[in-house]
Amino acid sequence: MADKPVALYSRVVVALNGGPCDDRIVRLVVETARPTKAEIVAIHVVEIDWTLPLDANVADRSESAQRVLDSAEGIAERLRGTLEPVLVQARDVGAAIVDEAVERGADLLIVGLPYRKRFGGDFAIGRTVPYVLKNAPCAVWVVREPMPGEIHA
Amino acid sequence: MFVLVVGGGKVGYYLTRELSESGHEVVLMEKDRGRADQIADEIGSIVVAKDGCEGSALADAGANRADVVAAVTGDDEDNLVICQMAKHHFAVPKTIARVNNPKNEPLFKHLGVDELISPTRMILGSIEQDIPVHELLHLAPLSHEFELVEAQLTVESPAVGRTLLQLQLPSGCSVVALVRDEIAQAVGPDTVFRAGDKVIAAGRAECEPALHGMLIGALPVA
Amino acid sequence: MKAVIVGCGRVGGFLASALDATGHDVIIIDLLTRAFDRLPATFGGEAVRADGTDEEALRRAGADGADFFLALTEGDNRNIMAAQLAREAFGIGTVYAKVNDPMRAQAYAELGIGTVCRTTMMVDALLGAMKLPSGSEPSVRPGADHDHAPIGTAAATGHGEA
Repeated sequence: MADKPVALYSRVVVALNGGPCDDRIVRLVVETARPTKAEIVAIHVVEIDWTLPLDANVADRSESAQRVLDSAEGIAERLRGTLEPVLVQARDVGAAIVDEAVERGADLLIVGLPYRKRFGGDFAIGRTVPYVLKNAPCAVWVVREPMPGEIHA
Repeated sequence: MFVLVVGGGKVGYYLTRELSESGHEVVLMEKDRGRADQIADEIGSIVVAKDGCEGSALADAGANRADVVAAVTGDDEDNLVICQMAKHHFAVPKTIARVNNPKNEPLFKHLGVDELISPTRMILGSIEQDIPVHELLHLAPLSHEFELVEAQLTVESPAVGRTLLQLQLPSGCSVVALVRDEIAQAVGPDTVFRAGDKVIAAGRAECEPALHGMLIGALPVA
Repeated sequence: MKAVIVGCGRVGGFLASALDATGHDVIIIDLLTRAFDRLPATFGGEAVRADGTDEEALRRAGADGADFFLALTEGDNRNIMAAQLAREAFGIGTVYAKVNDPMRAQAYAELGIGTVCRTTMMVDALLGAMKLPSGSEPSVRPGADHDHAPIGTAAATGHGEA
């Protein structure tokens, strides 16, 4: 048995939410992609509520969204990797991420999950991750952020 | 066009799907979370799981920019309130209510709902159209006291075998067209009527007995 | 005075017996006969099983010529519809609907239907009990003169009593 990578991915879509986890996820995806020279698509979704048309010009929000993608590109470059940034306006984050993965024919989708609790203390998984797990046709990796207060490298 | 549909029953579901497929922007409000999720699974993320009777929920669903609000729940009072809130609070240009109890139609109209859709009335209407009684069928009022009517000619009709000219219609009414073998055609002075023709005529209300007499036969004695 | 009350719940039933005890003509309407169990044995008004959102049913129950019409069922929208019928079909002057959604309460006050909002009423009562200033939303809003009130104007402010 040779030292082959456990799984071979050729096209990876990674969803970034602008949270503290993004940094770690970008590093993870660049390293994962390296052995197979997999393409990386980094998507950030700006959710537009129904009070606005889907193509509404939300300049202030798209600026900060652009920063999320810029910083991801910067990290990838420092690791000598490349990624294609994609900025999307959508009604629902989960559906937009899955649509992108399907359109790109991705074989791996990576999403981050902030560690949050509901009122009452139960862990809250939110709506996006269950939607993605249920509907994405490809493999899905969920990277949960550390609990608040955890010291992480 | 941006259409806000309230009520995710069968009517709301199919309406939303049709509108979406024909390229309109549409959002469906359904207060039952389970039902809302089920619909979203089938037609995508255009479902808001909130009660469209709540003012704040209507606001969240974008009532402020809706061109049309269609209230199609199974409860007439809910449909009325949804339309009134849309019209008066959110200045929606067009409101459509499903009216389940035909008795409520005049009130809804009076209270400013733009369009009423009455399943009961529609079914009644189509039953009445199917009944082959020898009567003038009222198709549509063209204006006050001026109506578009349809008559199915039978072998007993006095008009059969005669031309429009020979019929000598009273003033105040005219034959507009006829449908023969499923094909509509114009009627000239020399057109000869045949049994089986469907004749479309327009006339003032007082001409109706005369039209009836010529196209169908003498009015039955009441 | 003649009062029609739709909905024989706790509030409707209690109000009906109070008005009856002070010598008014009271007609109370509910969909369920059992609801009338709330009325005291001494109740001298009329209790009618009927749908308060049905014009014919209201007419048969004797709503014509009433001075007051109070829609107090558990459904905001049933109350709104009944109140509008009372106003438009029977021309009753003083019409109130219990509407627990503050936003709907305000909207219908502007459209000429008086509204009573239990939500803001309770909050105000509790704030008052704590000797704190009451909230900014009035809990009772008389219907604006709906023939003249332009849509979108502010409703008249509530008159404190509840």
